[in-house]
Amino acid sequence: MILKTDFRQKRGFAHGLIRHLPGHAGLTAGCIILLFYAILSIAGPMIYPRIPENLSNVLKSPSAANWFGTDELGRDLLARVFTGVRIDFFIAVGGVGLAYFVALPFGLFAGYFGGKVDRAISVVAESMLTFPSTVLAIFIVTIFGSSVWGLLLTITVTQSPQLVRYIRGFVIQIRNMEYIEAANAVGSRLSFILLRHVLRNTVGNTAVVLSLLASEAVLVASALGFLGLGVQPPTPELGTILSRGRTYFTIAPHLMIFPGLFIALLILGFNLVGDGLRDKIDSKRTR
Amino acid sequence: MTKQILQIDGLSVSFGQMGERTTVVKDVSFSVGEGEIIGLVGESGSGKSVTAKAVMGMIKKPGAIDSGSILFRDRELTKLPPGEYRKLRCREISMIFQEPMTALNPVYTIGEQFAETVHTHLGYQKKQALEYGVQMLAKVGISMPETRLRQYPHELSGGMRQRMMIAIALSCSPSLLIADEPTTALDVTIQAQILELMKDLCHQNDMSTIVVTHDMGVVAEMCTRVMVMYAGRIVEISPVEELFADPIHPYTGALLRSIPRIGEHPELLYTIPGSIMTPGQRHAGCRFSPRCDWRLPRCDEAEPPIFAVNGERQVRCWRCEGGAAHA
Repeated sequence: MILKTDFRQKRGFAHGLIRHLPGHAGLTAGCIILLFYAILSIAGPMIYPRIPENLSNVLKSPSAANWFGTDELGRDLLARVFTGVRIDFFIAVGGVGLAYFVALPFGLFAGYFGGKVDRAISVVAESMLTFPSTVLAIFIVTIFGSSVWGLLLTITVTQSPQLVRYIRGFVIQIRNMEYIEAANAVGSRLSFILLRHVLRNTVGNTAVVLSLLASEAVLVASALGFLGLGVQPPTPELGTILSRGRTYFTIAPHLMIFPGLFIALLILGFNLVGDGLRDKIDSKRTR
Repeated sequence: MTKQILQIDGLSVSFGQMGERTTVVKDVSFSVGEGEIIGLVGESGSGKSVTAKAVMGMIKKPGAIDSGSILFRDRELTKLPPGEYRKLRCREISMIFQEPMTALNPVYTIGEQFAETVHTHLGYQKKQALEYGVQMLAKVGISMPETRLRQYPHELSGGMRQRMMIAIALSCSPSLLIADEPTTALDVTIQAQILELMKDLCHQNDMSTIVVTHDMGVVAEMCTRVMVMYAGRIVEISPVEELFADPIHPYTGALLRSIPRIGEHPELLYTIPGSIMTPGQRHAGCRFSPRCDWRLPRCDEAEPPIFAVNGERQVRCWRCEGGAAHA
């Protein structure tokens, strides 16, 4: 018997996600917000005009020439906020992304093997979690230094232990599924089981956690900036801009309003995406 | 007598922490001949699945094999390093699971999961693996195999998924198949089809099979020999016809009597009084003695060894010492 075989490419993951977007207002809104931030971060300098600083034009309210007004040194606030968005977005996404790569192997091993490996990893992760996160962040940022990379690493270090615990939990759920045993029974390699069977099934849940952690990361980064421990001026970071604007709040409220708005919107975007993904992925939760 | 493919001798498996271990399977010995279909029956918790997993080398911690040997084609499996064991699975010994619903990974297509196994053991590349998949699926009676390979597990029915599991398990032509309650999760018509299919494939490939089940009907349908397990011990090994016609061990007898028969309408279905002894329970005598109708004084004092009865049969009961007895 000759059988003609034609193996159609299976539909991609991204395709499935986009197909599901309509019908969930929160997720759609979150995706649009994050897309907006992503475009702003990548193409920012090409979009907004470069207006040279002008010391005779300080603390001006929003106008046609300076849409967001100017700051205490006569710099265009729009340009500063957009650059700040770029920095904060980079710190949040980069920090959480790096944390994922750090946490992934630990979470996988702890969850899959259990026993002593699990106990060793869990003890370390949990003892890090006993510190209040802001205190830990302040402590670590003083080690790494108050730069963009310093903050990024701070986010990584403070969030890895949480992620390890989350991933460990997801892996434990999957580990006890019968198809893992079935894969063992047909003699699949350990690496294959871990990477293909276990990891793939945790991706959805992990994505939810990652987006929620990213919103927390924005908060931590801008809070450190506000406290003067974050990215140092003149580099515009949203928290730092906010902090400097505080001095002039009564005469130039736009100095706080615009950066504050952009921080809030970014956090909202991450949260909406996180919640939306959870609704989509967790079929057990009734909407 | 045909050549033995699997020889298990005095196998004991226990679970638990150091010092406080509970023996779940004790002193199990049996052998499987080449091409033979042998049944392993017993109620829940009697150690059937643990025995099957021990052969697969898949006893998970905190479980461990305490003693005994598992000889497969003159290779001692209990001393096999994990890497060697992995290569053995599917190529030599394969397993089918109870729940076809959960034994396939929901995020991969049937084809990908088939290809995984074939790639690991036979080194087939994707295209070759999928073409082989089409052949195998056709062999296990799945219609439109090309389409099925592209589908995800949730798109198939339970019977089809179990056929798929069989196709994967047999893809590397193993010489021993362990079917752990292969039809429990399926409805009766599909059960019959799957059993028929497994029987055919076993005969075609001259493959030995251990069918783990609690369903006497499955045993009658498929097997040539039966092992009855009770509370972690094998209590009776016997050819199928003789077991059904003339059960020797009181437990086997009671088990057969508790199956409802079509046409008979008893007021009450026969049940064995009491419940199965938990593995941790200490009892000097026979594990079945508290529930046994034929109990002798010595049954509570010492556990009976296995006695050979009428040449082919083996029974773990004091009443068989020196000769045959009937239940």
